Amino acid sequence: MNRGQNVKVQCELCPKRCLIGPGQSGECRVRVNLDGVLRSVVYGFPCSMTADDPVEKKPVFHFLPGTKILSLATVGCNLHCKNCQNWEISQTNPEDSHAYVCPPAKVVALARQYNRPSIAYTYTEPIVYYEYTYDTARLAKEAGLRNVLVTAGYVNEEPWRKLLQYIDAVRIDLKSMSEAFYRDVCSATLKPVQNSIVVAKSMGVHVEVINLVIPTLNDKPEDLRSLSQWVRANVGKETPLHFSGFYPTYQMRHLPPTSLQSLETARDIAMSEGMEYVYIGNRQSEKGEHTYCPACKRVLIQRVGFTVLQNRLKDGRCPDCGREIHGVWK
Amino acid sequence: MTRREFLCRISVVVSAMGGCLAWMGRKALPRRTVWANRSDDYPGVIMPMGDIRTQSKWSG
Repeated sequence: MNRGQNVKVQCELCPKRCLIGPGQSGECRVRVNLDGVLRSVVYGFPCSMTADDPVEKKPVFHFLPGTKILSLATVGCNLHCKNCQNWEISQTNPEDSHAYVCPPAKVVALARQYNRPSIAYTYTEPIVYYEYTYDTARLAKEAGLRNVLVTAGYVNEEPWRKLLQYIDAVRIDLKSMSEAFYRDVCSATLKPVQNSIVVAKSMGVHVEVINLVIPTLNDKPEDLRSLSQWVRANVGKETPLHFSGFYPTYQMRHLPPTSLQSLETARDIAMSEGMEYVYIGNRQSEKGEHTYCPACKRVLIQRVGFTVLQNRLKDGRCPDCGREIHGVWK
Repeated sequence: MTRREFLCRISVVVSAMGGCLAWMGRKALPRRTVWANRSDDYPGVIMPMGDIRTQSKWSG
């Protein structure tokens, strides 16, 4: 008899610290106790991969604008947001899904084959396929490529720091400033997310923060103000902040979509709190799509949807007043 | 039995019990780890990778 057969495993990757019995998986569905050893059953098996996503779709606006990014995901997530837009892949079991065979070296080879300067770990939650993300990001870095994480940031600090050494940009969800929201809507907690944002910034990684504005749940002016104040105080006023529109989906089909007016109010509040680059997503909004110079207020990067129409930056500076614009531009 | 012999025996028994409890405790506690080893097989269905030059339908 294998001595490991009856041993429980505790996964220390995320704050949930799942205690996983023999043959069982953690809450993320993809980290499994097999014979007393923790195994990632999705390593090298993405359920989605494309070479044609613009980096603006992540959304990441201050990082190589106008470029396309090789994007991949496996199934699984350690959060269970009732509003998840990608719930068909984030909240499914690997055994009920389809996947491709694509080990880290092949991901890097595909990025080079399609001439993509960076790779995005996105759509579901790159933390739950941590080892795949880590090994791919390390190989990509060695090959001169950049790495972008699109994440909810629900991860313990030690593995987070270890991963970030190979990451160039993080687009991280700050879903609310309320512990009750994180508990009731996402089955998670707020503090580890805030810590992940602060740690990423402190390690010199380019950080962009996104907040999905959901009617009646996190759209009160005081919610939006406290979120903006926290980002400004802890990550800096130069941090790009995205307010994204909610669509009824998954377990939140009873709520209406976020109005453009609500998103524009969110943007106005954030800018009144001193945030310099505030964007609106999932809705057409002229003033919420472009990048403006915080000093002379002229348009620097003109966008429509995910398309960059014009980029006037000169060596990362405003061509009109010379103000340095925060971001990774080349 | 002298007092010295008695104390000696007691200390042996106590250390044996302590060692035993520590061993049982270690066995009862879960293995803690961050890193998950890769699994060779995918539990779902493997598909051939198609054309990846189309935008993903997923958000993000």
